[in-house]
Amino acid sequence: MSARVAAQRAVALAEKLGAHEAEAYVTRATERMVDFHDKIEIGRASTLVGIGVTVITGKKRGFFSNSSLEGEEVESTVRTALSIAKASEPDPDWKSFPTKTGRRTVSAVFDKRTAELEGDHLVKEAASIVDFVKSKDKRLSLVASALGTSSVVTSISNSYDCNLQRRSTGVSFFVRVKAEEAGKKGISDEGIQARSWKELSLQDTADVAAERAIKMMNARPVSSRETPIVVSNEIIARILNVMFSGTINAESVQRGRSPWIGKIGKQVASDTFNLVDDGVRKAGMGTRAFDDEGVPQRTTPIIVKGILQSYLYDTYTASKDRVSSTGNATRVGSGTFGLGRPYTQTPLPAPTNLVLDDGEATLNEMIEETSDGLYIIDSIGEWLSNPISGLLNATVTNAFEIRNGSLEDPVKGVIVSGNFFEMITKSLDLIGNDVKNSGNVYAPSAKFSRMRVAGE
Amino acid sequence: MEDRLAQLVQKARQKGASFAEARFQDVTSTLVAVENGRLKSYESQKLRGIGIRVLVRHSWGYASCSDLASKSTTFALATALKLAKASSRHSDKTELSQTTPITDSRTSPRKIDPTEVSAEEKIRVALEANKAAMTSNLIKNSATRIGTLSDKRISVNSEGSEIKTDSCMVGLGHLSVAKLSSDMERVSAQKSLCSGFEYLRDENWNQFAQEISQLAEKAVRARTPKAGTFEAVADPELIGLILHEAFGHASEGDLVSTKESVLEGQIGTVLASPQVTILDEGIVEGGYFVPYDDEAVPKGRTIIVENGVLKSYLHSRQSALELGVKPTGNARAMDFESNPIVRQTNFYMQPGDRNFEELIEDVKEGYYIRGRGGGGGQVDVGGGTFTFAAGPSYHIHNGEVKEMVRGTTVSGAILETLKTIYAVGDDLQVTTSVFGGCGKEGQLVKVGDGGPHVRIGKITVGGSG
Repeated sequence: MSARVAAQRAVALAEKLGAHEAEAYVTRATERMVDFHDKIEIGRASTLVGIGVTVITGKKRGFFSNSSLEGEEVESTVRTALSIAKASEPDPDWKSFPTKTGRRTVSAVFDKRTAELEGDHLVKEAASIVDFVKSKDKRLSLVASALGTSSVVTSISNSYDCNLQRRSTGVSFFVRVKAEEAGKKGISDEGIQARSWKELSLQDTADVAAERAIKMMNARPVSSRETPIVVSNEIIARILNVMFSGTINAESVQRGRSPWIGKIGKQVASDTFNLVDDGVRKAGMGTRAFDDEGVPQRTTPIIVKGILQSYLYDTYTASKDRVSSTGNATRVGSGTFGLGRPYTQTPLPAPTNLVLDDGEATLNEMIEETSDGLYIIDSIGEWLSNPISGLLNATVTNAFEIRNGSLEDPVKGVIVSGNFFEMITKSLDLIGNDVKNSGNVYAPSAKFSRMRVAGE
Repeated sequence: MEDRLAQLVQKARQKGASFAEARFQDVTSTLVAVENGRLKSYESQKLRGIGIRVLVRHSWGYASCSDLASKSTTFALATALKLAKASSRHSDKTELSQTTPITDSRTSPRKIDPTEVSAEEKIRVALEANKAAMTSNLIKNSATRIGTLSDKRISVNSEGSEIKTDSCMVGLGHLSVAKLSSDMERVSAQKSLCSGFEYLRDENWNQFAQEISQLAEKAVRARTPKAGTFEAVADPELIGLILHEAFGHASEGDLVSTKESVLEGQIGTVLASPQVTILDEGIVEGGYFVPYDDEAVPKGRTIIVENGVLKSYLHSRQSALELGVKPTGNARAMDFESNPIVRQTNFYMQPGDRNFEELIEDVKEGYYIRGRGGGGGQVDVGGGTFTFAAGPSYHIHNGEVKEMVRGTTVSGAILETLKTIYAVGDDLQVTTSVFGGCGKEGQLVKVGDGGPHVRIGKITVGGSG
């Protein structure tokens, strides 16, 4: 059964069986992946279908999801959702599923060639990267690397004539390069996540990791101190994800678990800080014609010149605040058996593409203007930071000391800490012009005048 | 289903696979979320599918489908064979260590099947705990989750093994946010057990949720620790996290075989103090239920470190052969879409002989770092650095536990930190989680970890203070 037909059938069936309203979200996803290190480890392919049905009886909501559309499965999914709704409690804030749905024109989120690439082609491409790294320098080898593509068809139907379908593709490339010589070892990671095969530059990416891995063989901790820090674009993107993605939405605000409560119209960052939720960014990883409940995506300024402008809304949270949805309904696809499976969850508001506007400084200028400090390229554990208190900690794995404007000794194994809310108001010195993404978050590198380093 | 899997495996052999394995999985899970005294969502899912792994010309191919129609599984098999053939032009000889074929069926202990408990009761347990956590007007948000999980797996391979496992787990998680003037802090924690619904009926969840709110109320007033390298006493939850990140991942045989891990070539080397013994064990009280791995190898008890000396890595059949040892039952897959890779099961430290006071009394200046309310961790197994976020912790001064600190992130070096474990406590606690899991190469699996209280001589503490 096609995704579109399954979604329509589920809604019709739910209404027939007594639901006052219903919504069905169906996906058909194909993934191809090659795991490799100094050889090809395994080629993998998967085809996963899934349906998530939400039904409302009175103001009571029930949700059930199923990984099959075969035989009686759609009907049994609807019946189970209904039985959950009946056992549920009424939600006085429930209004309805979105009554105005539709699509925005978006570009470069689906690439036919990417969707059609066979797994054996990926195997060949991965093998060429293995050969490239091996022949570059005998100290180098690849460990735990992967190359993959995905192609997804998503259909959404609801009781208000919503019958929408969208297609998207994705590619991901991750390399981990090890350099080893005389007992010394350096490791560097690089990766790309994009929409189309055309956007990948496999060899250049592997080369960046390889060059840095050689330098990281001599990395060691530095002493504890307070110092200026230049942070790479990818780490800035990961930090923004931790600090905004779960708290800038109206859901967290309405439920009292956001630090942004009561801050609309207030200065929350330096006036060079501009953050936008760009639902229609060309080829964006979060770009879609419509969100996960069928509302067209759009662009919502979050912070303009340091002043907080808006939270992000889906239909439910928007009706509570008597505003319109900003098109941010998102099915997260988290948890052990929900990972990468958005159909297993109901939507919550979350960023589409979270974009920090670029500044004018080049990375080199930021480094040249630093007389003494650190340039952090990669870290682990930054995602463990606390978006409620703003306490930020990142354990550095790839960094360099900056002395008199140039990169000197390699550094690893120190913790960099700060209070994020203070960092973006008081110590944000420069914003770079080199935007890169980590998933759906896009950011340039940036320089902070002062952070705490815990080391030896 | 066993017959269908056996047919797929047989067909794979006929089409040139030297080894084939077909796995079926049937998962039912429920997540009930309650927030600020009201039901937020009740989500439930059924996930089923088949994964097929084949070895052709010494190379792997893997394919899976959630659609169980025979044309879909036939297509998946053809895809797996094709991928294996494509890979064979670019890979060395992949082989598997020999194992004895086994037929067995194992079920984790339970009295009340969670799928037979009404939605009303699940909602009620979560609601009551949620309301109990509204302890004062400092608490601005109270969010409670109940999770139940049933994971049934059948694995059949071309050597004649047929293993069925059926594990059932339940748990409750709670998060409280406290606000005092402009300061906010959140604390979240969870408790889970491989059990039936009786665990959710019998425990005192109201008290558990209340304690989390009380921690949040204290934490919002607390300062961050001083940044630097200190002595520390870690509690069982935290030592579990340390071992998992600092040592568990680095001991995974695939990362050793590719020479990524800093533990490569270290068997027989002293890597911890003599008081330290570390085990990986499939069935432990409080941990996850892993009687067999996803390659039909029994997961017994593996001694990783004995009295400070590295004794063994964790292995799949492939990594075991590559390193010339026996498999340890650690090849695990998140689900039918994923191929088995080397993973930890229940990774923990054996208790020693010191009581808590003895661990604390010699610490002049340091921290009592605690797991509850912490956020997990991450490791760079090649670079040798690990890190994790502790929960609300305490300053130790002249052998006494003093004021609370918050925002405590800790990091250390795999090859150094365990050498500074000077004293090991006499308690033991292993825990697991129905909500989360351990991530590697895009796969999350359920694990357990833990140990006793321990004293660590040297660990780096991040903080803005």
